[in-house]
Amino acid sequence: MFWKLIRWPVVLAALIPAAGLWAEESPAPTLQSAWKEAASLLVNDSNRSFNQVQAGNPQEERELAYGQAATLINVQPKTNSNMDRAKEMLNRVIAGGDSDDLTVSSRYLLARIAQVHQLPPDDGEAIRLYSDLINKHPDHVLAQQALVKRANLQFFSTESKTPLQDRYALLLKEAGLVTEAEARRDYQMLAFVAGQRLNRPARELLGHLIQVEATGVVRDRALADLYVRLGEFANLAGEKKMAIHYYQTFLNGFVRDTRRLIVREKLAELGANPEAAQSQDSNRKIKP
Amino acid sequence: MNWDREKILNSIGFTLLGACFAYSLFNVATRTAREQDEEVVSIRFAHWQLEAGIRTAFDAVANEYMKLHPNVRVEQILIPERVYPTWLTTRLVGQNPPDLVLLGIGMSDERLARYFVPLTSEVAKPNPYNKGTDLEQVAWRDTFVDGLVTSPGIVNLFDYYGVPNSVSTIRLFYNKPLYQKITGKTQPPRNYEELQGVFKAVQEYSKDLPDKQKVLAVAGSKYNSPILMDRLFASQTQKLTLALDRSNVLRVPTNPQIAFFDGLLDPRDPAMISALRLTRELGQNMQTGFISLAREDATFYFAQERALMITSGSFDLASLVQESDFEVGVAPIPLPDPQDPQFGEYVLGQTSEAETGTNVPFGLAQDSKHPEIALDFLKFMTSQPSNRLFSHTSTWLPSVVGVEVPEVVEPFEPIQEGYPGGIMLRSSGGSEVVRIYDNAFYSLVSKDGSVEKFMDLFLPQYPQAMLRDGKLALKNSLRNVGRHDTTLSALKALAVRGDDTAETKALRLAEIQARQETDYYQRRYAIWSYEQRMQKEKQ
Repeated sequence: MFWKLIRWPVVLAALIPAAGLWAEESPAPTLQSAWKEAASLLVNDSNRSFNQVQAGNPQEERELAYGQAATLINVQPKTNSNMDRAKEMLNRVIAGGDSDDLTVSSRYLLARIAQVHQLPPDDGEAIRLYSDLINKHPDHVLAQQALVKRANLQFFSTESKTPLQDRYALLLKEAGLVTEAEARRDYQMLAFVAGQRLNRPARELLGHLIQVEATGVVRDRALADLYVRLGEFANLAGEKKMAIHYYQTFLNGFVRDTRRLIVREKLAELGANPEAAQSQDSNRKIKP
Repeated sequence: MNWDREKILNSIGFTLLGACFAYSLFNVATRTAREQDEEVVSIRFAHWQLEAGIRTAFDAVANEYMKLHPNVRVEQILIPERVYPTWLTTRLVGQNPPDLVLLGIGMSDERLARYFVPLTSEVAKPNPYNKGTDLEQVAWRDTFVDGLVTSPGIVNLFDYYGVPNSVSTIRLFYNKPLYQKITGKTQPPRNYEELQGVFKAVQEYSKDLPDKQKVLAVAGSKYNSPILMDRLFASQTQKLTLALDRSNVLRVPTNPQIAFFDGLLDPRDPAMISALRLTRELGQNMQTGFISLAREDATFYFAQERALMITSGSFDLASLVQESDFEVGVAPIPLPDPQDPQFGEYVLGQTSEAETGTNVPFGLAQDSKHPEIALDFLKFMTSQPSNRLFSHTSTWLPSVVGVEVPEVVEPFEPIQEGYPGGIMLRSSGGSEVVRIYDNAFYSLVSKDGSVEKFMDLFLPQYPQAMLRDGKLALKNSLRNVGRHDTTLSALKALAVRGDDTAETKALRLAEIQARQETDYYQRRYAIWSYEQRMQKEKQ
């Protein structure tokens, strides 16, 4: 009777180590493989990998701590205790280095935790941390991004008593601080959105969009929208030639877009020949 | 021997069971034997497209491949849509997936990254099976009509994980002989005014017929009706959408909720009311209770000649033709012209389908036993000659550039000339707005319903529903923005280690994140301002 009761657990217990012999041993995670997992949105796996990586030197140890923190902020389920642990790790990274990339990245991530990851977000603390980063490393690419992030928080603040008009003025004033190309693009896009909310004149809004274009928009969809907007605001600002140029650029660049007819009609209204662009019109049989 | 009924039934049952077992055993044994055959490599591709003609079309393509590669055996596995996600999960987790998998239902970015092979470097090279065609020198990616912009994984992972086989559009199918009998015409309705004429003719035709012989204008169901109603609703709000579009992007803004919180979007707008009137009229010409009927019910209604028309996708052509004992006609959805005396005021014109994306994309499983051969077959399958064979056999639209559309499929070609569709009330918020819209929908389309009755139910709940949806969207948006922080950190770390693609991806992601963040704060501010205004109004 006793044997009957225990026979299956015994058999299973005997099989487990045997199964282990056949189990394939996966290679030990490295910093590279852990980052690759994180880049593929496998955050929990990546965090586990970072926890298993053996650092070879103090610099690797700092990168490891940074990797742990960067993944911990998105490990599911998200908890404030994870955020506290991430902050501790980032502060350790900052304490262990001077002004290298890891230090700046850690400062940036600390501000991101305050702004986006902790519950509830702390906009005031995020602004303080971004300002700190901007003051300490003004030319670093992340400090430049921080200028955009801070401007978002300041302009769209739901706490501030400053009139929206004054916040917009501050936003424009600080535009000069943004020197890095991608940050300038994002900053000018924010200025455009902010200006729209305040019904600023079309010419002024056009100016922001021109700066966005000058930097270069990477994504196709965003670029199509940008050309349409540029055409529209140039048109509204009375810049006929410029409007025609942007409408044509849109038509020549985006052959599969539901706005082509409407844009062609706008060109015709401006007295331009929509056929010039229409000749580029593709049908699905010719080219994508 | 005295056999009673029970014994006979049992014997039949056991015999059947035995036969099934023997058949399964034979199948497994022969498959195992095939797999053991070192000279023949088997690859499998799985999908849920059970529509008529698809299996044959894929078989035709596979047979051509096997002729070229006699040492390869290609098998397709057909799984019903309902069980596909569960089946696939089991196979993926068990590390025993088919080599090629139809991507779509049950797929997430995380799953793509974990179980599938990114095809980004492959799609940048020409497809060797396009040799001798005008696509010989063209990157595989650019041989598709949409340039793979809708490929799974491209939005968040910035990698291509699937290559497509087809394109689909929505059309009106009609019973040709019955249409001629009822309307006296052979041409399908070209606009909504003519469709209204058909509605009247059908009512007149059915008036004196006994119930069982009555014909309805449109076969509706919870699947078929919304696709017709949405298209017509969106025609009514084309001009309104441009008026709401403060960012001058000339289409429905990415975030229509902001227009509501800013006081620009009002469901009582005359264009919205017109759209609701049109929706009611459509509902009146479908079966009672159509919204609780399944897709098969609508197909059955149409095939049994109890409804003159039905709306569905191009993918249903073969099935509808097969199931119907009459000639099936196809026409674009008849939309109101701007000159329409009743519904033309708010219309810009025909809706453009220029952005119709490709579909039926197959991905390469990471655990494929023969990844090189599976990838080679994927290239063959989506080459110009094979896509031509697929399209002509299945009567589905081709996904590859330069493939002539079969004559029977021509009516499904995406309409290039036209305007963007307008905003829809049902999708102006999120799930809460959908819920209150659907709850009130019966009062709009039922016999004793009306637009006013619908609005009496819908309108008082709309602001709160928008607010709930707005706040939920905020939460989701912040989560999305935050998720990118980890990915960006990783991409930058990989870029430092010399990964060039990581650098490019980081640039794209940073741009997306910046846009999403501005959108988030703008929406948050709009909601906050709206609540402030509401509070002041209460006081």
